[in-house]
Amino acid sequence: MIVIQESEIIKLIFGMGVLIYFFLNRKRLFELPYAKLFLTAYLVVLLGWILTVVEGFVYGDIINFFEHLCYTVNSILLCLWCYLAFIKRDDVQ
Amino acid sequence: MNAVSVVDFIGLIASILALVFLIKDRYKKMEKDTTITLTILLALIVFYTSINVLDWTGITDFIDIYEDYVRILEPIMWMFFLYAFLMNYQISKTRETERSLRINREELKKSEQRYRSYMENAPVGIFIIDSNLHYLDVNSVACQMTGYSREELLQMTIQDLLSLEITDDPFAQLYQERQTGNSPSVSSAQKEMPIFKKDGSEFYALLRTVKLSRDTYMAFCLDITKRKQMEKELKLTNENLTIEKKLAEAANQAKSEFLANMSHELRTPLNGILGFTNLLKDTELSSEQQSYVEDVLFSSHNLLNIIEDILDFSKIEAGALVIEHTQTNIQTLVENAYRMMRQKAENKGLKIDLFVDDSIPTCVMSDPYHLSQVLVNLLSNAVKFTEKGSISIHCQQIHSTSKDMTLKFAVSDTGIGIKDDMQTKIFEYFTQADSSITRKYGGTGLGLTIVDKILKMMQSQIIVDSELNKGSTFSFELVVQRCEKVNP
Repeated sequence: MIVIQESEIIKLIFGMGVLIYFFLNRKRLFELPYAKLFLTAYLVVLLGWILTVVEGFVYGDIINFFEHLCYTVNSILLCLWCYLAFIKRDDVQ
Repeated sequence: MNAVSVVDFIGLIASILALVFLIKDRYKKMEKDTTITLTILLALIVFYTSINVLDWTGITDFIDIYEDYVRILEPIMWMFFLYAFLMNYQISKTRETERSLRINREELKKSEQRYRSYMENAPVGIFIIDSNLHYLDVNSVACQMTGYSREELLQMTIQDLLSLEITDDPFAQLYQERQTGNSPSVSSAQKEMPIFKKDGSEFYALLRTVKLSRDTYMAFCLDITKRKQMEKELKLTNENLTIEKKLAEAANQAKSEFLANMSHELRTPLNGILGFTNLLKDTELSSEQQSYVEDVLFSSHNLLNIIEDILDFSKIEAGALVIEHTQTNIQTLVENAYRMMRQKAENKGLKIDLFVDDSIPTCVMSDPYHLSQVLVNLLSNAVKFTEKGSISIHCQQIHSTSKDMTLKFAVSDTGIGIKDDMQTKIFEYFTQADSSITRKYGGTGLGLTIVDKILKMMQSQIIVDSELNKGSTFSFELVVQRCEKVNP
């Protein structure tokens, strides 16, 4: 049984929009401290949003697990990024 | 509680920790609005993760209705954060650029002040020119030198100031490069040239050009008019001096040649007079005639001596006198001089002594003719200027090596002596201590001059030690080479 929520599709579209926005402004956004880490965190959460949609089609439980795993990895990467950017680093802007 | 809940729990801890790090920073490292958007984003993540963790308990069921729509906020907050960062980045970059520009402007102003200070305080005229040969800047000294105001000069080119006859001016290469279109490569050049003033007069300048950049040159200008005039005068004086020196040398040479010729011409008939007077002396003559003949002989000998002195002096002056080193027996040489003058001394009632160092080898390399001439001359003077007392001649070895030795010769007398102030003048040409001496003792005043000249040619120096009315000692040291044996 295919279960797709409207909000998940909207979130994914917004998420892709953010990715495009990031890509278009990549030169300036890479001025962010540890920008690659930040981008990775975002890509991971975007993957989680994709998996949210996919879990409605196949392997619901497994994909759901990976979806939550992506959120957790995203949280860990953001935690690491915050530590590096705000605690360890002396000056950002 | 299942595996998903455990994973969510870890995510919750990580997101709370991230939030703590961010709050701890208190907007220090990022702009305030950027940090706020990030805080909201992290708070959302904490919120979602908390719901995920609590999902299995069923406590959050009432939220589920809204949760899906609320989750849409997450990508929006990501977007807000990125947007806020970009905006603030742009603002901070602009501020940084403005600050940098302000600092640069201040630096530029200070640099301009320094540059103007250097220009105006420089002791030389300074011209800055471009590749079109126009003046870009000049200092006040340059204005004073040329008579033009700064504004006038900035309307002119360098060619307006340079003399038209000048072809090799310091910017010649610059003209050429400009015409050929090549970039200037001259780093520095220095030239002296006349420069026109505003009033039409000109001054001589030393111009040194330095390349500042690809199309900018700096020329330092120093007024050297006075120096040029002095150089010109000095050159003229040198030329005159050279001409006068050549004329004087030619006149001196002519005089020496004349004296040598005349001496020779005089000596030939004088020898005839002496010879025939000697023959006349041996004939039967009355006592009165005998006295006259002796006077003639005495006068002829004096005249011959004078002529000999003049001849020697002429030879020295003409550079014809040559010192020839041959094997010489110093003891014999000194004794011969002594014997030659002993009769004269004894005739005047003077005692004459000879002291010769026995350690002097019988053979040394020296010029016996001229050394003998020096000794005879000194002894002759001693006899001539001593009325009573004694004369002595000393010769001793004062230093010796395996190759050569130094001999000291000294002729002392108890004669009239020489005043201190005259002790150096007596070696000048035709000079005696005073005119009364010439009247009383006769002579040309050439004897000691000849002695001095000969000794100088033999690398020696005559020394006088004299006290008026007590006597004199003339001495000199002579370095001679050793030899094996004396030729008979």
